[in-house]
Amino acid sequence: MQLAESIRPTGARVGLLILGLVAAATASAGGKPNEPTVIDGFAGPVFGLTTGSRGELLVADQSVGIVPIRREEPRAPIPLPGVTDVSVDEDSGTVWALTGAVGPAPAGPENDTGQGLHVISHGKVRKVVNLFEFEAAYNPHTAPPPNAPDSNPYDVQALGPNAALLVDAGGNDLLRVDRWGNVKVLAVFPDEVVPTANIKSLAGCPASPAPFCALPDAIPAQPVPTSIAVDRRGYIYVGELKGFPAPTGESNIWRISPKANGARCGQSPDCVKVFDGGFTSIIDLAFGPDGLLYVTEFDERAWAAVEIFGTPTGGKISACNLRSGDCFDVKSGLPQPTAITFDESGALWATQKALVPNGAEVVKVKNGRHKWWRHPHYIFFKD
Amino acid sequence: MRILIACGVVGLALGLAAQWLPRAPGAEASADVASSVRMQPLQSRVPVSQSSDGRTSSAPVARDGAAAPASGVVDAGARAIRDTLAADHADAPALSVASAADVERESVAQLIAAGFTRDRALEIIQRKSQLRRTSIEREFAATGVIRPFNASSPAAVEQQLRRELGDDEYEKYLGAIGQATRIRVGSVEADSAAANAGILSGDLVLTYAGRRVFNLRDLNALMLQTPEGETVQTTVVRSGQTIQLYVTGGALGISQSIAH
Repeated sequence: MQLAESIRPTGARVGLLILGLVAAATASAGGKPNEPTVIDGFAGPVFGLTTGSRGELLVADQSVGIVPIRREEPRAPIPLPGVTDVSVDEDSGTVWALTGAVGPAPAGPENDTGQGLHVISHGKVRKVVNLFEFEAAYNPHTAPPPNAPDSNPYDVQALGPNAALLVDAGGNDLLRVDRWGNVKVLAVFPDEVVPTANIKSLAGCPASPAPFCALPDAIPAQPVPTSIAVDRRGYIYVGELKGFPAPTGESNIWRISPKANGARCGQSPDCVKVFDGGFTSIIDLAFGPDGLLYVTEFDERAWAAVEIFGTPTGGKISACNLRSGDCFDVKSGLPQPTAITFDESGALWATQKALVPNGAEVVKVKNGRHKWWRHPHYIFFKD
Repeated sequence: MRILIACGVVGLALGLAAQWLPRAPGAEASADVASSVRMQPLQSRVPVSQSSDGRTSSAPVARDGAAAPASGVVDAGARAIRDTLAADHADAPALSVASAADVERESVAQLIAAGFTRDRALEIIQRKSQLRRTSIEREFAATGVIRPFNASSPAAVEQQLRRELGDDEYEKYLGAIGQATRIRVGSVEADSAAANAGILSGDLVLTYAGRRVFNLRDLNALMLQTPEGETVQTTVVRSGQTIQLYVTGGALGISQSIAH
């Protein structure tokens, strides 16, 4: 009797626990099947993705402009052909957008094809600065002859209503621009000697007649900065794609002091590596609600795999703890991801198939868990 | 039994609360790290110098690159990392010419399934590969490098392929590889050129200014060539009926909806 009495409440507790756990699990899953959310309807290529001040996703669709996504549906775009990235100051709602080099040679980054930084207000686009003219006048990154001006603004980060940071993937520098068009060079990234093994492998050397087979074992590569993230103390993190010969495992992440002024990365204490290689073709960075730095790599065999074959082997998103240097995979096998963002719920979204004409998509990579304050506090920069 | 149900309800409430309650920064990260089964080879990723309190230091350490100021100079530490990386990548599946051939074979099979003859399917797929490679090699010959997302952009290759195939065969080709061949109008912005012309959500846009448009990229290119205010004819299909409408140049104010 005593035994039975003691069992009854225990059994009830177990029953309750099971019921509670089942209920909690059901609530957590939202009662929906676990299907990834995929949004399409973009002309592409798509190079930028961010979260707007009203919780909408904003897609930088280079053929069209900035495409808002509300309730998981693309809406009519703000026309801005050539757009490569967009960033929003959450407090003021100010939208900053970049236009990059458009079209294959003889257009491209060595010509003025409309490279610029823009401010968008009430659907109206105002060009703040012509970045090709800046590059042509100053060309901060010196390259081997002919060292021609080369501008392909690629990633922008709002610092408030009055200023933004941007990286120029052609100019190989980090710039700060205010809304009156004043430009300051914060940092210039160096070329590095890298192996040519990957491009030779992609081209099928030595059996292939491809001209890459005659390359030496290692050659200098331009850094091609593609991504910016700013931490809570105002330090700026920049990721590199690494240009030709498209090596694997050679993309660095640099940390730049908010006080940097024309810093020569690798020489100045204001611009140091936080990761000395280890990544392949970094295409975007973002801090998550967990404080980790999320790193997006375009393709495990580097960007040239997509250029040469037109088919991706798969990109990856990793999350890195900057204190320990530890990184872990968040998602791998993503075809041609180019950008990531965290929405208001903390969910992680990415672009994929971003270079496929009319095939680009936005996909939810990771569900959010809570509402969070997306933007860091810019101690040094906030205007 | 009542108690059981009541406690179940409490459990449900707790479950819901757990979903919405804010979590301390780092808590999510810890959980993710703990559950991660695919940790990266950390030895290949070198963090900045760390002070004892865990804060990152702006003073560069030997592997920061600050010790190797000259462009192109690789220090011993970095070289060791690269050796490790090379070992990591040795295990990676190699993307070889053979795998590219596999992709080509698959594409050819798609085209045959859509009604192309085997010879024509081979011609089209091999021509597409050739266009891509020619574009890359031409840029390499001219500049000594190839630039990412530049000369060999898939869009440029597609445009050339369309010119060579002609619109009818190109449409058949697009259908064969599973791409949309019509622009299905998603939303129409109020007071936009599209709204004023009578374009409705669900319409299929076939032509703009007398030219066939297969996708939003084609449509946008033509819109940009048309001066604002100029009126052009567009053809849409609505409920199976082909309709001619007149729109003013400039942005149409529509989004695309892809039907699956």
